Amino acid sequence: MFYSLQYRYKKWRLKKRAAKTPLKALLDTSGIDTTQSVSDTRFLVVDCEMSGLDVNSCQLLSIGWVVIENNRLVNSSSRHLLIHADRGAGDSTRIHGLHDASIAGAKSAASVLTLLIKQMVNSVLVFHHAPIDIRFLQKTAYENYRCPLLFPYLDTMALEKRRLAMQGKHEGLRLAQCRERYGLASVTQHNALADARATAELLLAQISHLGNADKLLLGRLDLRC
Amino acid sequence: MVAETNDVQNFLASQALFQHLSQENLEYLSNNIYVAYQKTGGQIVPENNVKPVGLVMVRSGSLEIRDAGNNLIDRLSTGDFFIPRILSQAPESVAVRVLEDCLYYELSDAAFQSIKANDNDISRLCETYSRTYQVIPEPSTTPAKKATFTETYLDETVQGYMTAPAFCASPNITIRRAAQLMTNNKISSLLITEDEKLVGIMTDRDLRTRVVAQGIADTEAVSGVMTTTPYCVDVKCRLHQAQLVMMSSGIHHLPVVENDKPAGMLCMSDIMRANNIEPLSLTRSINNASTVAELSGVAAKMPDLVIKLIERDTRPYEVGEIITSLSDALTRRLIRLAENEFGKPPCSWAWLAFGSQARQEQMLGSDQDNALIFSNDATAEQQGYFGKFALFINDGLDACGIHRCPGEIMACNPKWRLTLQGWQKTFSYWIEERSPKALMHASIFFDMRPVAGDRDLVDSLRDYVLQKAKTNTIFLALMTDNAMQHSPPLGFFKQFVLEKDGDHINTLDLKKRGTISIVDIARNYSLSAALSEVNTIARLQAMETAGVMSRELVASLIDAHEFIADLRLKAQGVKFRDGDTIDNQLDPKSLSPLVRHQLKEAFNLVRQAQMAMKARFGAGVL
Repeated sequence: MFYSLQYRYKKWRLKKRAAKTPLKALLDTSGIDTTQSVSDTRFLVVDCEMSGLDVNSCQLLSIGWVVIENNRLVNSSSRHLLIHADRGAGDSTRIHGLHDASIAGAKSAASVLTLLIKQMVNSVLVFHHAPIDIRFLQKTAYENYRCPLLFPYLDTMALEKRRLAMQGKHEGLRLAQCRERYGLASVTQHNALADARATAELLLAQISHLGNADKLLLGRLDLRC
Repeated sequence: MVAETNDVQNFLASQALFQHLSQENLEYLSNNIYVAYQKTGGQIVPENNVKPVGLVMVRSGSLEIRDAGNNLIDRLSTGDFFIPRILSQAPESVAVRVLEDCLYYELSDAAFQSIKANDNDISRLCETYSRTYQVIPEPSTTPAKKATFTETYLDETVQGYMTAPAFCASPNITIRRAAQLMTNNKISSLLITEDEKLVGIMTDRDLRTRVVAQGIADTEAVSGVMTTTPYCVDVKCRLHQAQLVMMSSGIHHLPVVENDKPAGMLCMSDIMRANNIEPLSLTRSINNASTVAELSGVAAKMPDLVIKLIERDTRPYEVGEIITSLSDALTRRLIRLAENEFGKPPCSWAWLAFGSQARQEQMLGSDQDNALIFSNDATAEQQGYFGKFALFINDGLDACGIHRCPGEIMACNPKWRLTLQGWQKTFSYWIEERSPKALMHASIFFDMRPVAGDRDLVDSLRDYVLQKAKTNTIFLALMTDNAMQHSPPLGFFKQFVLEKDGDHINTLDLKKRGTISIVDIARNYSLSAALSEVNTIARLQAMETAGVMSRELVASLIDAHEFIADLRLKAQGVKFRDGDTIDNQLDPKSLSPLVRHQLKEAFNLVRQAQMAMKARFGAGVL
């Protein structure tokens, strides 16, 4: 078990509060172990688009995700969900191309989160630069369930940073820059799903460079929680 | 969820293999794709223990496939694919190694099989693919493609079009009785049989020319005026072949036999009915022309005819046969006109066709390659007659659009008017001399066919040449080297190598780099086994029968030849319609991705066949 004492404490503390929410499913994490092989692990690669970076004034606009099983990106698992926003999308539309009109027909943050939680069960989440996405996900969870999410995750940016540090290099860590080092083509379209897929491909490349996925232990991947 | 076509689906849609699929099918494929990555130096073992993999397609990076002896079999880059099942069935174990960090898509086997079963193009591509790994494909379960117009006409056997049963009579009946039989049955020809065997034919024309015009009494037996041992074809003979027999021998009634017994009669009108086919009427106009000017007027219609044939999707070798039969008819007619002009030739002679006309593979824009051969006893004076004779014919053909040979390989050139002995000497010189010029000549002259005159002369020459060439391994090795100069235009990673300069910049020369290579291969093997066939397809088939080339390779080469020739023909058709000069160039950008992919496969196969040829004959130089 890799779960830290802190994690177990959080889990214990949450148990009561989460019991009546969809979050309950996440409390059972028996499917994940640091000694299992990477091939045997289900990864859920997630990318969020927000109206800005400030968690207090901005909100989630869309979530894209894709599943990796058997060390393969499962194409049919790709999802791209738009979230209904109270305030207009504002300035960030210029980056994400999400217009108020298309957001208007989107789902509520709560229902999107419920769908995401279903996917999170017994999976390791993957982000490229995790802190911001997680902050927004936790905020959404708290607003809807008065309870934070609890999940193991890894960060492809952190993985890359560690790899570069071991090689004594300081190079760019943006998604496109990381992908380029593995011979992965640049992604032309930018939305939550395209970026989640791009991140997933990056993870596959990183795993391949670490060793044989059938023998590589999950613990080697700098798992966090 | 947002409805959108994802990146994988867009990529698949742009690939040769899948671009023709419907949106629905693409979505199905896309949902069954698994993306994987392998770093440089790694191996791809597509035996996914959970789901079997039907097809692996490279998204980025590159792979190479090597056999157990570490010989390179194939290199793959973006958009290229391999079929794991075929690799694992290959006679030698093969390994797939990553040359450059590679992101690849795995298509689940279930999805691959289902798309293959429902799509002819994909299943056909997989068959050609498995041939490159020498695996006999599993019998295809796909329903046969709907017959196109061409197939309905040209693939039809004579059985469906002949008049059956045949009207037969004994050779002992009187001419009057025969005429009555024909009148009563409203037929224009009568088959004469003895013990159910075909012995002769009696036609309306025979009654006119051999009975009435000669003043023979109608009480005589029919056997005296009938045509004995007439041309005939088997019931299984294809219609276009029967048509060629009729055209080349100038007859209008062709008996059809089954196991030597008369089964029916095929008339010119039956063929007309089958297809109001213009080659026939054109041949007739050619045979009726009485001046060169008239002939050239008729010949001017040839390109239009070819365009029509192309539009009807006629197979390239059939188009070649039809064009050749028309130039043969033109040549024969010109010879007749020359005879009228200069009198009958004073000695035994034959008109020889070389190159594409000999192989019956002429296309629009082919030029003349011809010569004359005389019997050994022809005196210098007798030979002198042919100077004007040949010039008349060469000029006549030129006027008809079959242009003079730039290399002066024409009968009007005294160098190419020789006795049988003279020709034998010349060929011996070419076979033994080993100069580049001799080799160039060899590749033109070794394809020869008599068009008019005494066939025996040509047959003896051919036998002599074949015996001579067969035993000369050095000559074969040099011919092989020569043939290797026309290499298929594929570079590293199977990219097309395009012409770099001149008018044809950025195009492919389908003749020089495609069909000619196959023609060369067929010629060399035929020479080595002393096979007398001249047509490339016929040569390949004879090579298989003689056991000098494997069945798989022959089948693949025939396919490749037909495919490349077809593209060349279609491109020529387009150029003709646009009023451009007709050449053999093709801009690969004008092809659909699937055709481009198939063309690469075809070129690849030609290259493999060239390698095999080099291995077989190349040693002669050492």
